[in-house]
Amino acid sequence: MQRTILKLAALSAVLGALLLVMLSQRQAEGPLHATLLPQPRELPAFALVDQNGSPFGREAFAGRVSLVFFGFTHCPDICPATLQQLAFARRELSESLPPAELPAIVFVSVDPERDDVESVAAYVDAFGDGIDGLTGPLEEIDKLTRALGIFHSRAPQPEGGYQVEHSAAVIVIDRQGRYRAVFSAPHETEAFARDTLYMIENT
Amino acid sequence: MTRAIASALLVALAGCAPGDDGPLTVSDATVYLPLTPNGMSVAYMTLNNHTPNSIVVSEFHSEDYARVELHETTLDAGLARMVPLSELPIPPESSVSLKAGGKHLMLMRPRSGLEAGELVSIELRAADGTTAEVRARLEARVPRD
Repeated sequence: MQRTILKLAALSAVLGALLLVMLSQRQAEGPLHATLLPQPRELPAFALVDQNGSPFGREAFAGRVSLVFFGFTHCPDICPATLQQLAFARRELSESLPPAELPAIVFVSVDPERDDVESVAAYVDAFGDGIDGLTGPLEEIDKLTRALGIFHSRAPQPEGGYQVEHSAAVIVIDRQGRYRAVFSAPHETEAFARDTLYMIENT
Repeated sequence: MTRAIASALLVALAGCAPGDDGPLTVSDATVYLPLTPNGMSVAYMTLNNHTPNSIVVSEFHSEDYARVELHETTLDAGLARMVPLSELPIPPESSVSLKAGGKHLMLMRPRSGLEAGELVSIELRAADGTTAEVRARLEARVPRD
């Protein structure tokens, strides 16, 4: 009996050591694609509205990790492709995380002249659950873009109208509502899922 | 003349098996639903030139959209830009892919009421009269569970 207890104790110690090694390696690996800021940065105050017309300021980021992408609803290619990747990554994470731990996906329009609440609502609805769409006055949007290093500019088109050139990065906001990391384009669904899980577990 | 007319009338359907007749075929076509009512949408595909000559596709037309344009997204130091292109050259015996983050067909002002699963078509025409038709079922960006 005593020998059995000793064997079990030894086995537990080995398993515990293995677990510690695995955990320390996982933490040491860090994100593979995203770039972590050396120090998280506080966000400035801003006043936007979400797809329901409800106010959305920096305090709305508190409590969960958020993945933030800036674009415009008239963009047919890189904006929906990126939001689609984010939605698929979130869906992948839902297999291992409880709903409260899942990242929020936040789309911020940099074309508020065309992107009213109604069009932003229709746009984000196409990407399933867990995504907010923000719009509002350009000066309020720019409080956020300046703080996060996001560039945007109108580009007139030969046939009339305009496109918007914009940074394609995805910004990670931590649970404390701070700028924590950035994914640079081109993006991959797997990198979003893997690195977001790392940040949910380690930040 | 008859051959020229026959060539011009040859139609390549998306998803056709390799070896289908026609100088220009289309494979792996994906056409997404517009994301907002009357909004923009996009088509991706691979164009296959089966001839020993270059084919330069320069006209895009659809009964399902008021306007179809060829565009290219470029990434320069993290900045995404979209520029219109006037033509799409396909080298001899080669394929060119239209894909996310690169060259793509921008679909503007869709006919009303388009739904996922619905069949849409886009006609492609080259400078030498060669044509191909893309037919694909509309896909949602993120299918509902």
